[in-house]
Amino acid sequence: MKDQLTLNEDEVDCLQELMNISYGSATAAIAEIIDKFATLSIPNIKTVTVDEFKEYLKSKLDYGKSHYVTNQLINGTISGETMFIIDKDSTFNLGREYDLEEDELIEEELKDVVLETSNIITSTTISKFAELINASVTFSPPSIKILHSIEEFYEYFANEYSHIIIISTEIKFKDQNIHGELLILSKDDSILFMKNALNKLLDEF
Amino acid sequence: MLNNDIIFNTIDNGIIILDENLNILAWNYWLEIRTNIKQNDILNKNICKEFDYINEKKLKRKVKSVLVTKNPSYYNVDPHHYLVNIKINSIIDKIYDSMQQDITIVPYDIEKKYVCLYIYDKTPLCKTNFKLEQLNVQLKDLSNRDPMTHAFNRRYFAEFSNKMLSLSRRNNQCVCMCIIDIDKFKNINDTYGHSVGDKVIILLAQKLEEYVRTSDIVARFGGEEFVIFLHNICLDSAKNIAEKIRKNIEELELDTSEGKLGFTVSIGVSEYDDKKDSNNIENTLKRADDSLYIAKNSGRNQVSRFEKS
Amino acid sequence: MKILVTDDSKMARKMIIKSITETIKKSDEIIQATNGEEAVSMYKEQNPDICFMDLTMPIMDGFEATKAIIEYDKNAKIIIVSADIQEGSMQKAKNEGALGFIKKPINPENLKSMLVQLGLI
Repeated sequence: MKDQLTLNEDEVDCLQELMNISYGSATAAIAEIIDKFATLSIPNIKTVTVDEFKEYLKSKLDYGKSHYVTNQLINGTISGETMFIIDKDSTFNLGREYDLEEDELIEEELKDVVLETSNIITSTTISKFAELINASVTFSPPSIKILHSIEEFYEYFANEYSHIIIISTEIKFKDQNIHGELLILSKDDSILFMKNALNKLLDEF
Repeated sequence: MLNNDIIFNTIDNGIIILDENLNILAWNYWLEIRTNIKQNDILNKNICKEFDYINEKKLKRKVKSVLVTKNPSYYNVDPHHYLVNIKINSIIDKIYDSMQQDITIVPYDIEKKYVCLYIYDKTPLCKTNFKLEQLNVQLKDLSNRDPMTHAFNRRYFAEFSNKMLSLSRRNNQCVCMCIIDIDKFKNINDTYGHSVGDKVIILLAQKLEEYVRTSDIVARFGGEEFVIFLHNICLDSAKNIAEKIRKNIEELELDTSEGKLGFTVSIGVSEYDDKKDSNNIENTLKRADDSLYIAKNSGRNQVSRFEKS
Repeated sequence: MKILVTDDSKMARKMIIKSITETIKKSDEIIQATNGEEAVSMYKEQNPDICFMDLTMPIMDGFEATKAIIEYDKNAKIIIVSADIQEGSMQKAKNEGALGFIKKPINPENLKSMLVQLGLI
């Protein structure tokens, strides 16, 4: 049963390429909206269990730094969740990219900047991806948390899923030291849907 | 095509349609009623000129974001409490002066570059959250503090002292305990009654708070017993502090119907010792307790410290 | 016409090939390389008429491969295919000798007009 939910080599390759294209739309969108250029790294795709996911998150959160984490739900024929993780220092620099004045670099404004960045990247990437595989999606409003430790995060975990696909990409801005990571998470029945869609595409080409 | 005008004017949300330059192209009934501004009077006006408190740079960017991504963007309640300032009229149960709002911006006509803003009244939700937070603080307090004296309780002391101990050990700092016990408390209760006895305990708790630094804590352990956690203090200094406390308390007087009442305390002091206590503050406490016993048996109203044997 | 398609993703190659066959109706031989280094050696061996080159690849990326191929044959016709169009990248590719730059997923109409403009069809 479990094997049904992992992606084979061809499916991963296909997903990787589609994500590559989708992220391209996202960087273009950021450039158009805030007139600043960002690059998104080649997406890294992994299928993990819930426990492995917790370990993965732990490794992402740099100890000793606070992080902002946003969360947004994807609804529709492909469903899942995105998480955007950015450390506090990068956030200040991100605020400057959004042309915030020094006295505007306060928590309230920074949260807004992070939420917006996350929303722009998520909505363009996923919309493009949905377009490529003929799916339809809508998004829920993103929410944001400040995490000082990974334990705080575990309290809110849903443990029901057997498999989670992580599609992660690193976001870098050219001149500023800004480092953030976007995770796209999908689980169980959505993975099945995606596999079908990917295979359809593979057959078509 | 069904006519949407009825929905536009009966929906329980504000609806504004803007062009990319933030000029108002529609303003629904919900807004007319609450702002006292009719649609006809505000059409084609720039929303930031009409409401100058709106952050123009930010709104413009969000509108642009919607037009580029062709997906919704959001003005969250957290940073922005409202887009359009609508005063709240309630007298009872009023927490906020203005309506707390959540805004969603969606594409309306991509070619013409029009967007639609939905305004949701989040005030009831915010009120509930606010009250919940207050209750949480009270609850936390209740679980951490002794109801009569409002000093910390034993449970919280254990939690706190363990954390502080780890920190102090990491930084190579000394940690000391003082156990303070009211002398002949039973006599006070028998002579003056329990309510006076309680007043004595409350007074003691109050004074102890005054005598310690903010990095130390005072907790009520038993009926007439208090413990102080002193951090970054070594045994000799701790004994001096304890002696000062003893002296101050000796000079206190409580007014009662039977005249002025004074009381004294006995104090036992000990210092955390890595070898003896092996990272367990309870052991340190035991030695302070033993010192206290010595103080009581040596005539009371004195400080005794645990001498290394 | 012999066409070389270079991309580390199998799916990407399939997609590029599909757009090419929709645009260039003649029966063509299409050869594939999975990274820049392979592309350079295949170019030397087989002398394709047009090359479609991805940018981000392991071992040797699109810029280096373009440079190496142009060094070998200054008349080589190389078109860069990428998901991410940056001013900087486009310029760099042109500097290395690429003739054009097309964005993924390839729109056959756009490809056709580019090829016509470059005089390749």
